[in-house]
Amino acid sequence: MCLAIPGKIVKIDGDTAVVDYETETRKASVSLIDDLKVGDFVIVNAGFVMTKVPEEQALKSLEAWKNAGKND
Amino acid sequence: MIDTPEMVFFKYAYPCSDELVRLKTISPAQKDLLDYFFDNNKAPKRNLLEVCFPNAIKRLKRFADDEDYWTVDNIREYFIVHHNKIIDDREGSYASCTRHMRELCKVRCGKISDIEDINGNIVYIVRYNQFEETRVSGRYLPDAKVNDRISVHWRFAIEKL
Repeated sequence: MCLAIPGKIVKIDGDTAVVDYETETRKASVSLIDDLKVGDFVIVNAGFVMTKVPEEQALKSLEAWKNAGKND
Repeated sequence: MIDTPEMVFFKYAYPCSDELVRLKTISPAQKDLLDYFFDNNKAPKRNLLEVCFPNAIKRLKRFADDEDYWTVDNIREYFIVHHNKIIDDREGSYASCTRHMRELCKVRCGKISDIEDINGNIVYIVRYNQFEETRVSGRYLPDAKVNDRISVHWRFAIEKL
């Protein structure tokens, strides 16, 4: 358990970010993390942005998830 | 509230449930059921927890002193003592986790140094040590106070220690 797919912030409005996952978007509170901006890759859980992920790591994770899906 | 083994396990494991849906370890219907129990401050029965969190259960069994792995002491010891080492050893699915994810998955213990209310969301400022402080959601533990020692999983305050 405890794996997660990174998403990309496409909008921030006050305390709420809109995070894009290619197949869906989710809203999440940004109250736990400082200095977030549009374009950042983040991990969201239970309605909160949990952490910011460096772009290189996020792209690697997304690629790994896509490959895992091909093996289902 | 009495801390039953099921409730203690559920409090620590529940923050992972979002991702278990994405991993298809549990179905959306099972997730809805877990949400219902959590929102109503109730613990699911053991058989549902065993189905939804099989890896954690497998490890609970491994660390139990005897055959009864469903004890409060064993569950707390697993999450507070052994869980982080399993992550650092990159056991099972943790092998493919990024460093960020591994750190997020760890259970940490710290002291609340301040409390903020951000649009109705309780946020605890938790100090883990002399150098490390972080912001933690109080959604699952809304009644903690400054100076309380708490455990944290996935940036969620889990329980007072």
